[in-house]
Amino acid sequence: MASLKFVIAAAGLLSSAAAALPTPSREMGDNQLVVATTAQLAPVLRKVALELEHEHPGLDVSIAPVGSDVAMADLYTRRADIAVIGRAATDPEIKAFQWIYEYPPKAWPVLRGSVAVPGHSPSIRVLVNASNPIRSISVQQLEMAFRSERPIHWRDLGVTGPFASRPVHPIIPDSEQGSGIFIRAALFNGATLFAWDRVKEIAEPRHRGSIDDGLGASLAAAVAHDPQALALVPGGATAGTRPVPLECGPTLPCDSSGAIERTVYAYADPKPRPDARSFLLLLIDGSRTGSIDPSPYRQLPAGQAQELPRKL
Amino acid sequence: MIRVLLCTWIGLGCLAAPAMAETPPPVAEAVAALPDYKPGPRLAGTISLWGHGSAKRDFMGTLIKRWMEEFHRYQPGVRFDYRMYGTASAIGALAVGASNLAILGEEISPDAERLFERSKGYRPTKIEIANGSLSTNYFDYAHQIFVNRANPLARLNLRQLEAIFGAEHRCTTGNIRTWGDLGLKGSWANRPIRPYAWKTDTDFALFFRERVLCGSHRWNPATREVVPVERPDGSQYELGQQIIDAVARDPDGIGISNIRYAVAGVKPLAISWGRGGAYVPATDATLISREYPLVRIIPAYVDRPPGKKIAGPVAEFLRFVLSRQGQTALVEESGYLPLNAKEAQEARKWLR
Repeated sequence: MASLKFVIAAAGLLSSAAAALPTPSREMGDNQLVVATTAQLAPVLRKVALELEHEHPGLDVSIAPVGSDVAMADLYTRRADIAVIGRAATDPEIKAFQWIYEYPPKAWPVLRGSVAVPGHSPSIRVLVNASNPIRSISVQQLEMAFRSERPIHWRDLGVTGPFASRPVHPIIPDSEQGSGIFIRAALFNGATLFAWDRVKEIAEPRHRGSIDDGLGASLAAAVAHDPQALALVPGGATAGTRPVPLECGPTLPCDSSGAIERTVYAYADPKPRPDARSFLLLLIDGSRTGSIDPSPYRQLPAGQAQELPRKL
Repeated sequence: MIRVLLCTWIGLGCLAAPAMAETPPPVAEAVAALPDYKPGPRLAGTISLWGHGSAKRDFMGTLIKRWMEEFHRYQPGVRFDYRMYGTASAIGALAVGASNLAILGEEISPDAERLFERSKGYRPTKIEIANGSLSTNYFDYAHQIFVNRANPLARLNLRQLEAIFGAEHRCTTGNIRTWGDLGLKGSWANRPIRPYAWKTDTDFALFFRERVLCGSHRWNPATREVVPVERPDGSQYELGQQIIDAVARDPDGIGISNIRYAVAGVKPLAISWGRGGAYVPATDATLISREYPLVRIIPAYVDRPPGKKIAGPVAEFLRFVLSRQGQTALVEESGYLPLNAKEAQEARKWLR
């Protein structure tokens, strides 16, 4: 580190200030691999770390459960070799890395989120009140319900009978927070403008180190109390609510129940260190470490998992 | 003039400072009103500085270099680790301990503030070090509100802007959606207001959201967002220009842009902080005085645990930056405007 610091000790050295900026130096020892991640993913990654240390005596693998945003900061400041996070990196996080290294970090899908466990990248479901007769819904209909400037009624979504003339009451997680950001990206092409006169947002609990474990329940409770509610919810249905299968297309990864699956990504330098590469390979090959059990995360589909070694 | 006086006063000559053609009077007056730097006891240590800049365009390099040069004469034991990679990485570096001083190119984003708070358990401490420019690219030019030249409207206050561009109304009571809602009569009264803006999750829009929408991300859903467009010749059709051109074409349009892009078909509005305030145009003087509400503010951030003051080399360096000498360098080596004396004094409150 010291070699990268320039000491302002003489006028002759000053001209280097604005010259080509050196990239940050790696903070760790050669035999140390640091993986920054979330508290929820840490148990999975610790099993992988143990296996890797077993295979490579002398290697010390540290798992740092610092949270997704701090994990990305650890990566671009080179305090971590890999960031494993339960979401895609944001544009500012990519930009932060890219403006330092002049190339973006590489993203590898490594796991699937949970089916419905709070805080573990649960799939997103469309929930309605249990009394609502709607059978399925398309992405275009969601777009209409959440973003159209004109009022939307259930008949606009294909519902007939007494419900048809009632207005739709759309509900989403806070569109600026984790699940809300994912929903905006996955379903609304990153849009930020919604029909705010009728769309209700429910915020994630905010306290240090929190996860969105109360969010899905809050959203479901709102749906249970409102027969006209149409909500996008991280997690499963609860009493008084009913999931509605989403008609997914080829670009939207849904499971067989019509819920939108989420992906856990690993970010690292595009040419990772050999030990980082080994770590990622072990992570996707859960069969060797049993890393997933008993966590609610899921392995990637076989085809997707087989692509990773080739990409690495 | 300021430049000559300062160089004489510190008796050092003026290394590497490009001569300013003319310091505008309001700028010179603001700098002259600032207190001289009074060096504290000799210190030793390293200032790890991350922030505004990039490998391709070193926006801050000349200024920071001059600050370092001059400061080093007073504090030869203080070393600098210069890492101005860009605003996007600055707060992250501060949060994880890679730096001890972040100088941003714009106001902090809510995400960056959350990152720091998640890491440390408290918010980073802001020290304002400059005002954004009137119209200089890369130096945080002021936001200005434009309407079509045919529109009789001449002025707006922040609460009216919130009601036009927002949908949540945290600081006001309801929507303004027609020109009649703003008091225009006759054929204007029932015409809809069509707002034009940057994409509402970009850096520019984040400032407007904090200053005008009182932190709300719920913009008027009728807002037309402009996105990057490449012209047939390969040049970039700048977003600010797109907004101005759209307002020039649309008699019902209102847009957020800057005078640097203005064309004959639009006019800028005078803005006030509130109903009873003075309606002023954006000028160097009204930006420095902060009478013009949409002035950008350039902050430095430090990690200051609650109940503590900022001490050591970082505090001493910031004291220098906030002095007449530091702000003179800022005016001469960057496109920013200086702080006024009141804001500079306020900024010093956390410095031991």
